[in-house]
Amino acid sequence: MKANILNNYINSLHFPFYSTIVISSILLGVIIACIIMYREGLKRTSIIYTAFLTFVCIMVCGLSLQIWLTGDPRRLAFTGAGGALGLLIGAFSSIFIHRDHEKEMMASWVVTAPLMYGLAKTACHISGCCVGIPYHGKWAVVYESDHISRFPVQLSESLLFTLIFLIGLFMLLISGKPLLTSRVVIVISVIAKFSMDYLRDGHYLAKSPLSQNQILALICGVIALGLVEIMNNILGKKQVKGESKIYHG
Amino acid sequence: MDNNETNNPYTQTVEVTPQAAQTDNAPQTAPADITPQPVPASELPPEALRTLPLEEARVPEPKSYEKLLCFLSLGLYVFGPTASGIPMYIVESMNLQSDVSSPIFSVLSSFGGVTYIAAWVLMIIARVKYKKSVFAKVLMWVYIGLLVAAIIAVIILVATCINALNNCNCSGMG
Repeated sequence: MKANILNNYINSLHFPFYSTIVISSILLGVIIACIIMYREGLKRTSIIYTAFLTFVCIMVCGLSLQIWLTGDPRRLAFTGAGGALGLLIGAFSSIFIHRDHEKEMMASWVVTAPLMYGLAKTACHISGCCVGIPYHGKWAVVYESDHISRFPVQLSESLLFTLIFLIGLFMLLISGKPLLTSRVVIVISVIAKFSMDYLRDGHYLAKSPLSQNQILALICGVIALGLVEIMNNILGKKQVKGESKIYHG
Repeated sequence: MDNNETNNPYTQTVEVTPQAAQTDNAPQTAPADITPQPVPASELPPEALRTLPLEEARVPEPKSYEKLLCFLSLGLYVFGPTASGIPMYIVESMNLQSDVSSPIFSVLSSFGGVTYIAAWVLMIIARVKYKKSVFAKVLMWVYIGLLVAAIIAVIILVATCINALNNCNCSGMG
């Protein structure tokens, strides 16, 4: 019995593709972030070190948070919230290590994060995790594991977050305001993640107003906005100090 | 008042004849007190140091933390995953109840993750601050090599799984 994605029937055989797709999505996101940083005028060494550190942080935090939440190291999977947290840790550490186009560096990673998440969601769609609520309309998918017709929430998230990435990218390239772009992308992403979770089966079955994913999304959003504001304040103070020195000197 | 004026070198009057004023041998009007004092080389700005002779430009070098950073990074890289991986293996082999084992796994995995990231951060700080450090360069290539090896291992593992599942004749897997 072969898998037939075109007929919306997903076979369990596709599960091993999960890790390959997740790693590929993150690597593609890192490459795109590097291209954006290069275009924004960062030094080549800063870009390379930032790319390595952020990739490591994304992988480690994504896996560690999964073990933290499940308490079972054998259930090796990747948590999107952990990945987002890792991305923030990597980007923010790199900003203070290199001190090279800080705002642009932050914006490059924040803009690329929705793309990584969106592409990685295709892995969930193929492997059959993070499934949607029972649904019998158009584009419904059926998994071999339970034979229930479901809403394709993973693919919807993929499309939505890819769209958020495109909005952020055009905003960064056209407006040239990295901080504003970072704030907008963070807010839209948190709203999107929070809303889409209502279409997930886990949330539907839990019957609670707020799921674990929604709480994690809110925490990640608050941390991300906080880091952007802290960075803005530190950079603002540094600029004022520099200006006063020049004025009096 | 008169005494002060005569003693004050700034107010001393010197008679200058018209002939003396035209020649280069005119008497010095500047007092000896305001001649610039020699400044130690350590207090000079770097621009001025470049013009000084080599012996005078020797400034005590700032203390280097290169080796400390590299050893700390290496220590965290080795110690973190070991200190979290071995206890995890032991706890898993003990077959404890999930209520007991879950918090242990959570704490150990977080510890391993934090130390691994800290090792990378310290290595990058060493590479950025001390560009010519061979130790930091070697660490960087070792870390990158191990990271690439881990990714390849995951991909090979996945490919092996696919192959095994394809060759399996179990119902529902073919």
